[in-house]
Amino acid sequence: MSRVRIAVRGVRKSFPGRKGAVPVLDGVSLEVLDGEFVAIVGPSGCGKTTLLNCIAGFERIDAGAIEVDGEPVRGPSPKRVFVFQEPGIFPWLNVTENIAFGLPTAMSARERQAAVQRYVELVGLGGFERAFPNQLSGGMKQRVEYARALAVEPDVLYLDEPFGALDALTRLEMRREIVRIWQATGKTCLLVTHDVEEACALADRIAVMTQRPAVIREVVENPLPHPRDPDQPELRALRQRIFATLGVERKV
Amino acid sequence: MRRVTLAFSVPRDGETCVVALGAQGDVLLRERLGLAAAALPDAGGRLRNWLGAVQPTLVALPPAAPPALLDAIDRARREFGGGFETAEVALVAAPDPCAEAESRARAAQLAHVTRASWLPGPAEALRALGAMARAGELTRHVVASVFRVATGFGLAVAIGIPFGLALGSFAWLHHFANAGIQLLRPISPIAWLPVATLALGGGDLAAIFLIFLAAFFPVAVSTAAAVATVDLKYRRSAANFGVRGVDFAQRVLVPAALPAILTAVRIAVGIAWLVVVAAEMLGVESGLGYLVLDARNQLRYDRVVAAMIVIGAIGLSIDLVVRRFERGELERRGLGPR
Repeated sequence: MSRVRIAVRGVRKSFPGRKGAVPVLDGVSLEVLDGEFVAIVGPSGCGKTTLLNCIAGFERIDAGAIEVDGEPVRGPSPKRVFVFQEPGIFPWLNVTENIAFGLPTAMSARERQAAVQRYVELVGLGGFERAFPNQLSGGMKQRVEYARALAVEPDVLYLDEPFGALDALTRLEMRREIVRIWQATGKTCLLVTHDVEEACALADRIAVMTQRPAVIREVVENPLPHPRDPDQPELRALRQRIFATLGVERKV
Repeated sequence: MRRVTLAFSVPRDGETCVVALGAQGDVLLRERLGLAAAALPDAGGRLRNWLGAVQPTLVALPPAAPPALLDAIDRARREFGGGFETAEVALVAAPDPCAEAESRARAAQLAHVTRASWLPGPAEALRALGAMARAGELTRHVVASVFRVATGFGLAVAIGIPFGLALGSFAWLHHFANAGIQLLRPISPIAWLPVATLALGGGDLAAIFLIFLAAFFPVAVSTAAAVATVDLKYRRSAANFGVRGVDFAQRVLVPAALPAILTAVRIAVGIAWLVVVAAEMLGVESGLGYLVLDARNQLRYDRVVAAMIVIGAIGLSIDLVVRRFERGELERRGLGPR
């Protein structure tokens, strides 16, 4: 069952700067298996989000290859949905309309309604179908974004610091929520975060990125079953190892 | 400062003498004018030529001037288009009508040495307003102005919003059209007035064109700017779900830019209302702008102020209506204030 879903090979990317091109990605390689939850951690500004934007097809790469299901990525696709840090849901659409946004236009009204209802319930937003985003809390907006992403039945979810804009309590709640959704749907998830603890709490494997120009220095396995307790000794050891790889010694 | 004054003698034997005095008291003109019915067209024409030549700001009339004289002055003034004050000056009749007219002119100059300081009070303005409303005159002018604004503004919105959407979406179009737009935009619509009346003729078309110009640029430029600054994450979300082209414009671009577009529309309708008054000062014979200018030419400042009140009230109402529409639309779309 463990076939390769996403393959990243020797990806290079630079941005134009005042003193010539600034290299951001310096030969990044990574493989994500089908149904796997993989996290990429790295310091702020190391190019994690750039890498995810390239994998999602929002940005072009200078060299190397990115393939999904064996096909080179040429642009974004509803098969692979990107979940933004600040919710990317549309403020002018209510919850139902947002969730239905990506559904094919050929779909009948009944099928559409059924799909929306299914995902409203999956993310626990029953009763808020008619609400506009400005009437929802940060966590609820994020739930709408998950429902919108899942409604098109993608194979892959790209998560870019998905809890970055949430308060600490909501963040913990949403972590449990994303694990629940991942377990319920079996989607392949690729998460980008600067939060080592978050990566350890969620992912099966964690890719550690270096400072810019970035490479992936190490990929660590994290086979612990869910639910995970952050105080488990295995998790603590894992975090220490990642911090050491990142070059940050943390006093415990 | 004395003023250029025209005075008439008491008519006798179907004739009146007209004398014009310069500001220094010098006699600019002394001539007898026939007032018999047969002589009137000719008298009116000569009077008009003198009005144009000496440009009096004060006309002194004998008491109980005959209607024929008043008619001739009125017609000449309309054709000449200038403005002056009229005053009745009673004098002991002199044997020579021209001497009498000259004395009347000097008396009038002495009595009106300074420029008329008369401005209508609120009561007079309101009385004039009531009179114009009862005569149906006001409705005619208001309808004419509102029609021109509605047409010109409607066209500006109907063309400006799609054009702005395209301008903000396609870099090549922006590259191609922007220099022209930026060059045309600072030209006041009023500066277009002579060219517009020449090209489109007098009447509604030129006024509507001016209003269109005044409203088009703010709508198009603001729409383009709003579209160009639509959040990247909305664009990427749409691309991610395969929403492109016209579908993308309808479902993402327009709603995302809507708050800025509505603000631009509200500002543009205000500008359109400002411009219509100026646009109606040339080439048309209806509308509130025409009313202001015509009342000024008749030195009916009570009517000038009455027209100003109407212009202000309608401008305020338009703003209130558009503001309410804007707020309602934003709230309906979940974009209102929380």
